[in-house]
Amino acid sequence: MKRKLIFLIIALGIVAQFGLLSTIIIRRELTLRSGEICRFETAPVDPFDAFRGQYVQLSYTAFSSGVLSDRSFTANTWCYLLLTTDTNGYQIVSSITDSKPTSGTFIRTRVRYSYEDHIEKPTPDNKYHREPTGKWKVHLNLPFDRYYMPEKLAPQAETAYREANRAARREKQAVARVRIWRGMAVIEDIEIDGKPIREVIQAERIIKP
Amino acid sequence: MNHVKFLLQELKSWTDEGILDPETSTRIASRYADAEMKSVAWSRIILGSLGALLVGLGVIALLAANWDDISRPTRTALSFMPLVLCVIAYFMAVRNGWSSRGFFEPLGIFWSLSIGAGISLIAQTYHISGDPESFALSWTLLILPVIYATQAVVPFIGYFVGLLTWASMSQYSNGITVLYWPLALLALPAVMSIRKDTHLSIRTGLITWGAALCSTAAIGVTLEKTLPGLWMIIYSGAFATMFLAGIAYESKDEPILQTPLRTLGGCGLAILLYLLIFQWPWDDIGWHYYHTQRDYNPLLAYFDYFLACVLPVLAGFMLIVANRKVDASTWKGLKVVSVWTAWGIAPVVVAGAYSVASSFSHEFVASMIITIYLTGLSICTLVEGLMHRTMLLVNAGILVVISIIVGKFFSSDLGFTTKGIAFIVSGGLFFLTNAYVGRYLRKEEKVS
Repeated sequence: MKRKLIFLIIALGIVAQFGLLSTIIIRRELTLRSGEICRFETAPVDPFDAFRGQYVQLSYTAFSSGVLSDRSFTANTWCYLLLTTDTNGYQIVSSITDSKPTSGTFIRTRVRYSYEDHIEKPTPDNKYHREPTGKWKVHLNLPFDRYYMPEKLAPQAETAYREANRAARREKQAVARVRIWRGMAVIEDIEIDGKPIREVIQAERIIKP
Repeated sequence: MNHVKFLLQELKSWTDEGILDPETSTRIASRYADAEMKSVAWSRIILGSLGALLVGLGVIALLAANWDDISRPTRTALSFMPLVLCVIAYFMAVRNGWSSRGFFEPLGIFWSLSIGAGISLIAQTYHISGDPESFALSWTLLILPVIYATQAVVPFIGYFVGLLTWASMSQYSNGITVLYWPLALLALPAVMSIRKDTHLSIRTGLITWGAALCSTAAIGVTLEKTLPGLWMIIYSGAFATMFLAGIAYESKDEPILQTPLRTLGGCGLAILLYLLIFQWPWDDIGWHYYHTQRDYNPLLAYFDYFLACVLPVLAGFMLIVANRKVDASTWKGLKVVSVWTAWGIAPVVVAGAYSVASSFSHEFVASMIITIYLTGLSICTLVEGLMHRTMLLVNAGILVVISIIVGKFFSSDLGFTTKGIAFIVSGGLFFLTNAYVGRYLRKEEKVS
C-alpha cells in the first residue's frame, strides 16, 4: 500500500514535470500561430545572462518611462494593458487596468512599481516646485524584454540594434514584432528597417567580412 | 579482499572442520551476503555521478552550440529529450527490479540537470523573460519527484539548496519567503524513508547535513526581522533543538559526518553564544526599535514570533526526550547533570538576557550574562571531558575558554603588550593542558 502510494506520488510528479513544460510550450505555440501581430518601437541595452546564454535586452519607448494611470498599482500584482495603434503604426498603451478586458488587444503582465506623477512648475521667486498631476506612473515587468540569440550572433545583433536606435541619427527603425493572444505576448522577431535582424547581420557580414 | 568475503571463506572452513553446524553457517552467510548486497560502492557512485554530470553538461553545450540551426519544433522536442530518457531509464529500472545505488545516484543527477536544462532551453526558444526567482523555484519543485524516485543524495541536497536560493532571492524582492518551510517539508517523508532504510549510513549523513545546513541558513533568510534581536532567541532555540535531537537519536561513537544534528547544533550554539558575549549584538534591540518601514511586513512578522515561542519550547521537549533516552552521567557512583543539559537550556538564558537588554537597555548586563554562562559551559565541558576521558570534549572546552579570553581582550581598551602577553599565556595553557591530558589518557590506556 505504502509502496503504491509512493509510486503514485512519483508518477504524479513526473506528470507535473512534463505538464509544466508542455503548458509553457503550448500556450506560446498557440500565441505564435493565432496571435495578432503587434509592433513595438525599441531601444537597446547590453546584458549577459549566465543561465541562458546571450540575449538582446529590449526596452520599449511605449513602456520605458512608465505607463500613465489614474490610480496606483501594488508591486508584483497582475495588470492588463489595453493596446492601440499610433500614427506610425506602432502599438502603444491606451489604458491600464486590473481586470481582464472583454475586447481589444491586451497584454497581461506584472507591475514592478508605481509612483505618483509630478510636474515641475515655476514659482514667482524664479524657482521650481513639484506638483502632482493626479496621475500615476506604472513600471512593468514586460514578458517580452529579451530576445535570445546564439553566442556568436548576439553581439553583432546588439551592434546592429544600437546603431539603429541611436537617438541622434534615428536613420533606421528597430522594432520588436510580438504576437499577442488572450493576453499572452511572445516575441517573434526583431526587425531593423522592416528586415529580420538575422538577415541584417548576414548582409553586414557580406559587406564587412 | 573485503571483510565479508573473508568471513564467508572462513565460514566454509569452519563448517568443514565441524566448528559450526551447516545450518548456522548458512544463516550467518545469508545475513552477511545481504549486507554485502546492500553496501554502497562509493567509488562506482562517485564515478557514475561525475559521468552523468559531464554527459549532462556536454549534451546541453552541444545543443546550445547548434541551437540557431535547429527548427523550433525540433528544439522543443530536444528540450524534452533528456527528461524523457531519464523517465524511461527509471521505469526500466523499476520494471527490472534494479536497486543499485551506482545506477540511481547518477540517474538522479542527470534527471535533475535535465529539468533545469529543459526549462532553460524552452525559455530560450520562446524568448521568455522570466526572473531568476521563478526559474529557481520551478526547477527546485520539479526535482521533488526525482528525490522520491531515485532517493539520490545530490538531488536531495540540490532541492534544499534550490529552495534556499529561491528564498534568498525572494527576500530581496520582498516575497513570501516563509513558504520555504512547507516546501521543505514536502521532502521530509523521503528523508525519513532513507533514514529508516539506511540508518547511520554515509548517505543519510550527507542528506541530513545538507538539509540541516540549508535550513539553518533559511531561518535567517525567512525571518521578517521587524523586531530587532529576536533572531537570538530563534537561533538559540533552533540550535538547541538540533543539538538535543542529535544527543537523543545519534550515536556518540559515530564520526562527525554521521552526526549532523549533534555537530551542527553544538557548533552553532557555541558560535552564537560566543557572538553574544560582545556588546554590539545587544545594541538597539526590542520593541523600542520596532521596524515600521515599508520593506517590513507586519503580518509576516508573526512567523518570527511563532518561531521565538515554539523553538525554545521544542528545545525543552527535546531536553526531556534526551534525558529519557540517554543514561545519566555518573561520577564516582553519583548521578550528575550531563553537560549537554547545560548547553540545552541556552534558549532560556538567551531569552533572559534579551529581556534585560530590550526592556532596560542594559546591553552590558546582557553580554555579561552570556559571558558567564558560556564560561560556565566551557568549564563544564572541560570537566566532563576529563571525567569521561574524551579528548574532543576537553579540547572543545579549552577552545571556548580561550576564545572568550581572546575575544574579550580584543574588544577591551588594554594595550597591545597586555593583549600579547594574555594571548601567549592562553595559548601556552592550551598546549600544556592538551599535552598533560593526552599523556594522562595514554597512561590510563596502557594500565587498562
